[in-house]
Amino acid sequence: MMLDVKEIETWYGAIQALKGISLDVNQGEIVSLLGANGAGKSTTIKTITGLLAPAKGRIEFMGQVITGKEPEDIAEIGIACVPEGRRIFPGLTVLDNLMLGATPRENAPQADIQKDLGRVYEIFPQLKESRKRLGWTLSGGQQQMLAIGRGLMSGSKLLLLDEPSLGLAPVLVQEVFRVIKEINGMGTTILLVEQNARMALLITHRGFVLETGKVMLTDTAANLLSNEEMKAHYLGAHAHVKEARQRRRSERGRV
Amino acid sequence: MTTRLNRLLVPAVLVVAVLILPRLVTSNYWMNLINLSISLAVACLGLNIVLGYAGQLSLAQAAFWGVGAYTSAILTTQFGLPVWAGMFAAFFVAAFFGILLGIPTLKLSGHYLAMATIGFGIILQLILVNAIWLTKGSDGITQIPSPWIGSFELKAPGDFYYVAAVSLILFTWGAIHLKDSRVGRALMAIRENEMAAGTAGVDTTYYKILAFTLSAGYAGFGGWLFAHSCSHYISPDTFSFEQSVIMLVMAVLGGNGSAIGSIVGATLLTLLPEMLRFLKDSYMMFYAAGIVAIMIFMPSGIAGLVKSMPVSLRLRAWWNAGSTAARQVASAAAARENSGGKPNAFSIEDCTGSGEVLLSVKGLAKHFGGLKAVDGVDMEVRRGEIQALIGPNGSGKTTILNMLSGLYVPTSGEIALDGAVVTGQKPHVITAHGVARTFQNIRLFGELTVLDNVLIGQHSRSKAGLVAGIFRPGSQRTEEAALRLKALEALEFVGLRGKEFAEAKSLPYGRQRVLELARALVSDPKLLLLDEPAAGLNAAETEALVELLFQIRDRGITILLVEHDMSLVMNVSDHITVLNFGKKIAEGSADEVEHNQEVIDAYLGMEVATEVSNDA
Repeated sequence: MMLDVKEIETWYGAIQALKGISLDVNQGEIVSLLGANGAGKSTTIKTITGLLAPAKGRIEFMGQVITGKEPEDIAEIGIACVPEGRRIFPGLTVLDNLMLGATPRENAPQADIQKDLGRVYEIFPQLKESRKRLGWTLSGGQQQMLAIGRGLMSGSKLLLLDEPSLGLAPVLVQEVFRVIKEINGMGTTILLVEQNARMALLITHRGFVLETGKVMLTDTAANLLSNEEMKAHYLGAHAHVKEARQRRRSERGRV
Repeated sequence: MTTRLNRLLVPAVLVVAVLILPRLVTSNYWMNLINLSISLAVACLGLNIVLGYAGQLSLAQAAFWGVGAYTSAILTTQFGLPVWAGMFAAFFVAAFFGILLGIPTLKLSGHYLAMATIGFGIILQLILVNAIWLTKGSDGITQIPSPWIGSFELKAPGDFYYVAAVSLILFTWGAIHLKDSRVGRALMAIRENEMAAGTAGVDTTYYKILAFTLSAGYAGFGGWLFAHSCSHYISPDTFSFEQSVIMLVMAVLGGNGSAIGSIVGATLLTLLPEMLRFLKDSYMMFYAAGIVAIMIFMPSGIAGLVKSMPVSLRLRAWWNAGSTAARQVASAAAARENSGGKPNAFSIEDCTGSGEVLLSVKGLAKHFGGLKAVDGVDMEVRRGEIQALIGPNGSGKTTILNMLSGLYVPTSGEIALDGAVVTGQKPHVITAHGVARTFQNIRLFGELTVLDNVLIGQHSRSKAGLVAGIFRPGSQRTEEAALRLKALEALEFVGLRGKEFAEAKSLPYGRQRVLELARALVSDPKLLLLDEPAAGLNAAETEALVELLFQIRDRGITILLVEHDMSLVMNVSDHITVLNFGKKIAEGSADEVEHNQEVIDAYLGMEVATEVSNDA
């Protein structure tokens, strides 16, 4: 087991956001963390990366307890995070953004870092073309690619992705998910937080469904995709597509 | 009714306390200090309007204080005018200087605004020193007269105190009334989010100048109190930059945005050094350390700390239960009940004319330097329809919405709404024409209540000005009641009833999105612009949004939306326009667009295209 989260409870002041969350990620897996707004997905990510301190519970990474460690120490131990909303450095060039991702590996040989840079450019050829452009001049999709690329530069064994498809065009959403699968294929373990549950489950091995700070359901992706409760609450797209479409058509005559 | 009578207790106790204070304080020295702190408190109340309400940092308040003091001093000593005439002159002349400061600083914000106000204050002080023919230069003006009531001269500090106390009560009453009025809400909207304030219908330019003007007027009046009490002598060095900083500290330490806090801050910082004098040489050090401690341990000032104490929470609940706002909401709710919950406020019953062109855009372009974000787009939106604008990231969709709502001035092209050309108009003008919008990254007035957000949305559909807001004549109260009725209906419509008094930023993400929608709806738009309304919503929430969009459409409001969620776009849109690299590449019905090869290549990709066709 690579990441083992046991019964963590996290509070924002007087509000309890996580009410005892347990989850695990095995080496080589893509695991998705699903749920509605406010279910606690991002809070879980922030607790794992050390941005928030849990009041209770324990987090182990590769056998080492990381609960209570500082974010920069956790990054050095080998967990990289691609935060929600990209958070790239707008005033720095693409290359600087990427190299900053390698900050936690101060002691790594330069050759290794260059090798990883080459790998990022291979996955995202667009980043190579625009390596001298400033971050803010990139489009939303390119910024997301840059944020993922920066995460990869840390050379981490585990990559946490928080809502990587947010605000992207469908064609780019597909591209992002394809890339996630490709990165996983190259040996990086991934914990993926997604609003787009159906797309996420199509590429992941297992999923955890959160509701109001608790894990409500966990299963393999295939089982979750066919789970009736999941279909009703999180995968609703299909049923609702048909219904709404019929409604639009029937009302078109009226208007 | 008993609550309302009980509420009279508070002012009654205050009046008695104010009346007997001079009997308790027998020393003239302390009475003078009390008068001085009242003078500073009035100036700080003004600073609280520009800084606390409107969020504009001004470091020239002492200069306006000086303008008021000098105006009255000059008029009474050199021109023999009565002191009472000097009082009005002090207020209005200082207010005029406030306009002078307001206009050039409109384009500035943050540090730059602060620096400009410092410069302005220094210039005013230099004028006081150098215009010797008028101000007597650094010698200052002496023997400034006291006011008279009939044949009684209010010379003793204990007598002048009554003038000061009555003024302070009136100015506080004005500041508190202002805060809960159309104008006050507009100021706070600017503080919270200037861009959203503009699109909600607030003329941000006008209201910022108004805030500076009123704030300077308050300071001028404070200056009048200063000139005619205490030493009856004024000189330029009193009205220095340092004094402006002290006033800033008073306002912030008392509690930014709180009128009572300003008074507490001004009083405390005036009297505290005197109380600490027993510490001899080191008293200033303890004074400064005290200020630092307050700022560290009470980040929202003394008022913030007091507000959060359990006893004051209970007092507030009691006070609010009988307050105008609560009563108005309760009576608005009752009115809603009586109407049987029928929609009335923002529905357009008459849907005739459906299908005609509501919005017509011709050759619209926006270039940022060499970047052609939007490059000659023609499009039409028909009345009563839901139209979608889709395209890859960076294809110019949001730029078009920004031009349609007046946030960007187009490089070229024409925008006509319902026959009227609105190209390049300011956001609030366009809102008045009937365009409302929401933002991709929600822009609410976060620190304000849910109710206030929806009241501000009605800015362009209401009238009460500054004077009406402070004095609250019948017409203003009728208008406020109507605003609340409509606000409640909108909140009920989007499912936020019962959350009226919650802070907007405390709502969960999905609720914030619908609050923004409610704020847009109450402006009675003909055209509603939605920028990625489903971003960050899950399948169930998106489904609820679809339902809401249909309901809005059924009320006769035309919708133009930018969205990446194709399950939403393909199913609500009557018409879709597709952009790529700032140009229109396709348009038509959902069926036409989703089978267009260029659209599939540039935007939809394969997965969605096959999924949608399986479905059909």
